[in-house]
Amino acid sequence: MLTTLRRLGEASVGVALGTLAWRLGPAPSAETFEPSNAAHATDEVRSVEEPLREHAVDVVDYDLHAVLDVPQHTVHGDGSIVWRNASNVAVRELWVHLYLNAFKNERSLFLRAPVASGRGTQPVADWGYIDVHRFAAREMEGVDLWANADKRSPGDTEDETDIRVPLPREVKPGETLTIDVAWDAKMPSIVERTGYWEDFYLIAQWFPKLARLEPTGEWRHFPFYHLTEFYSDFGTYDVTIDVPAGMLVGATGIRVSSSSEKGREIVRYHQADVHDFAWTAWSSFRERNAVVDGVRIRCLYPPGYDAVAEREIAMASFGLGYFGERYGRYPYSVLTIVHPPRAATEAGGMEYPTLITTGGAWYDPPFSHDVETVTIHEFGHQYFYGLVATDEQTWPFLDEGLNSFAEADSLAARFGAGSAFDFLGLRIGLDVIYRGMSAGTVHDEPVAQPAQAFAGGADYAQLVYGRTATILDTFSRVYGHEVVTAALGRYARRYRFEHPTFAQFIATMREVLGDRPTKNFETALLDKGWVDYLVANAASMRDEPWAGVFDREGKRETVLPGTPSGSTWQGWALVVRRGTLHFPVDIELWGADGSVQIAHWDGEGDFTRVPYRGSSELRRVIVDPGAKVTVDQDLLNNALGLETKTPPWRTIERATYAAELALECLLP
Amino acid sequence: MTLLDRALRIGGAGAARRSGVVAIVYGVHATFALALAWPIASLVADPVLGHPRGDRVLFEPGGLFLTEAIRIMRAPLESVAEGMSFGILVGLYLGLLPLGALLHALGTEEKLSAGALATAAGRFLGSLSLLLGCSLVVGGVACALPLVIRGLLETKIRSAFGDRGGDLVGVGFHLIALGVAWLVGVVHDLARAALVARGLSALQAAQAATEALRAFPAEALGGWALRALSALLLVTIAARATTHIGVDTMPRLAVVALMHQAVAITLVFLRADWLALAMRLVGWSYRRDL
Repeated sequence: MLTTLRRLGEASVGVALGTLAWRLGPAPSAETFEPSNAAHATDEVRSVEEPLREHAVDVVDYDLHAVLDVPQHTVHGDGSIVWRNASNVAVRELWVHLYLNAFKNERSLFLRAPVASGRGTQPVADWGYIDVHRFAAREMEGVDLWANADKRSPGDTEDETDIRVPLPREVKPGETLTIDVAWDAKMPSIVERTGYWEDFYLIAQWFPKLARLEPTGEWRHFPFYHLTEFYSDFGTYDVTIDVPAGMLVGATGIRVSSSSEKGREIVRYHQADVHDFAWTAWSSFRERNAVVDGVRIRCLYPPGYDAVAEREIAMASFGLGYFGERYGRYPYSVLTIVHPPRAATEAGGMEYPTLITTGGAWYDPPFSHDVETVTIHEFGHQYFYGLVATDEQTWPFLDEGLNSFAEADSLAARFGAGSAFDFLGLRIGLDVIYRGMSAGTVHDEPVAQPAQAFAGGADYAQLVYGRTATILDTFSRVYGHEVVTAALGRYARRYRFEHPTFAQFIATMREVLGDRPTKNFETALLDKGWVDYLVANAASMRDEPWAGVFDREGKRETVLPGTPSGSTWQGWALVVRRGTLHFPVDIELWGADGSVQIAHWDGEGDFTRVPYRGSSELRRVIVDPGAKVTVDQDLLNNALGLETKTPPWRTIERATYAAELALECLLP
Repeated sequence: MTLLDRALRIGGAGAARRSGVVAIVYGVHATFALALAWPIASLVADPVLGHPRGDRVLFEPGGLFLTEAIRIMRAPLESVAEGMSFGILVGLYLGLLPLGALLHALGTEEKLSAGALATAAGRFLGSLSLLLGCSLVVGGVACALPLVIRGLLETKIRSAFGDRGGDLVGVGFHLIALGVAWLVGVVHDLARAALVARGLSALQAAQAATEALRAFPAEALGGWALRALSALLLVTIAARATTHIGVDTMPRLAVVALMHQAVAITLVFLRADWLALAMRLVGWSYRRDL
């Protein structure tokens, strides 16, 4: 009795301790276009390849000198800006973007935005700002214009990122101003792809930068909103960078000279046909170089990241060929890849002309393709942002969205179905990830809207990146991959070194895809367009004569229900299209004998009833069997089985084995 | 013959002698695994059964239907998983019943009846439960300690050694935690063996286990590690092979299922093999002390 009591006592104490350990463990997380037209369009596109522009129209040239003061984390800058009024209208003002002021205090538009996720959410540990000391136009008696400049962004009493500078006289179309500038740029701790960590610097948005003046005479100026990127004119940048000796520098463009004096390294970079300039410096950088098709790829990376650097160079090399073939050759002679140290992760995943920043851990396993994904994405921006310089504030999907499609497309070409992840038979494509991330936000907001109009970083990322890529993926599967890449190729070639608008993009798509698909495309982008195909119902029965009493040829005949008259079956399937998008789809009707009948539906109308006649009972119906319409909101309702369901043996087998392995580790 | 060789042969012989009981333990584990897996598999796969390719679509390259099924079924999957965590805890304790029977069989020379096995299973449940609870708490605390220290020193380690060096030091801390867990696991198994072989209380068994480990560290730790590595190798080889075979057709599925179950029963055998060795080690240690 005593022994039994002791055993019971031991058991209850043991169970209690085990339960305690279990509860202390981590809690589960709560959280009418015909294909023939497409083929025709492809041929047409191939035969009429857009000629590639050699150079951009030079509007603004920056000749700058930057001295990095490491103890103060400040860049002392001076130089000159040569700006030409390339519009058709005389102007009496200039607009200057001082985007570093976004990190000046918590009342900037950037920092007070209620954006809970996405980029730029790393808290600012050290403030960053830009103080302009001189801004004088030589053609206006060298008077410092900054004294009369507005102190705040228009319509905002606290933000200092979008500054109007009144001019004492008009600047006529075609007239040039040479503006002497001097400023100090205090770099913030790393935030939103600029700043410092220890003596690592990514220096972007660091100089007074002129907004773009549209041909109509309208300045496209805007403050630095939290989710906004950039927009500016093409020109030539000549920048001399002065850093302490021992720091390795990387920058936009070609290094044309370097020297050392008095414990300082002085390097000069020059690049024409670009619209921004960023640079980096760090005493701990390692460097690797490669030359691919005449382009020097230079990779700067932290110690211990040699293998990752090799992967980044390999992916960029692939990108030069893949993007070059589809969207026109890369026109610059250099590409600098910067892999920031882990503590400066937010400096990663960003694009500047001829300079991209990447990310990822040194041990990132090759099967996950994370390193390749960020590299090819940022490289792709050399096209969709760099060369095709759209207004990233007004139409962010034109750079991020189109580039996300191009990125997934190129990764699939390189790695196949496991473009995002490929390990032990589990292969996940990046296109599938983009589809999954966008499916939940389709009804929230339009894709094509200004960056600051999005409710938050999650919607922005899921719609701008994921949804755009998925829409283009659907078009690619439905109308032909070559058709869509040809359309994008035509757009990228035609508008190289230009600033195309949404309307120009749509017009190019229309040229290749045709009217109906382009209307669909617009609906998807502008009107939260969505679609869900489903098989609502289906039935079949043996071919029986009509039952009842019939007077035929003078005789009265009674036919009883269920009287068989032959071996054929007839039936129907009801296929429904919900939503506002229309895609042509196939519908397969499977008989019990394994026969398959294929019907084609143009996707117009709310539903279609497909007749069935076969030698066996109708067993299954599936709409869009090839899953071409990846924007379909619910792929699981695309098929309907009419037979008794058998257990999902494959899934049960896999899940049981996985459970057995887990239990062998857990069970006593 | 080295001590390690001897230990391996002893364990192997012991488990092979009780292959019937090993098969019973495998049967219990497999049944429990099936009970856990079936509802999850049904949640994920039932919606695609209307597809002409059935649940094969879940295994197609690219993962379109797999991710779609998980996306749409995410909320119920999370609920089921949460509910199952309690089921697993219950299973953890109920799993002591076949373990008690297995240990009793391994420690007995004569032929055993089903009734004797059932009696043994029940007889040791209390003490084994206490050992398990203590082991979970001790193991959890002991493993957490190096990880907590690592977390506190994270910034200093990273600035001293850089990203890569910092990560490698971090891996070192994880390995220490893993080593501690391993040590606790080995002592736990030795204590179970002592408890059943010598009819000790949980506390006495823990002391006997510590003494056995001190007396035969190479045999105990090496014997356990060799079996664990063999199991890992086997699982990896099977994964590569079954990936190659695929599950496109029912015959292929059958082959894959057979391979998986062969692996599962081998894992149970390796475990029994280790426990047989553990029983022998506590016996040697006891006799030496006498």
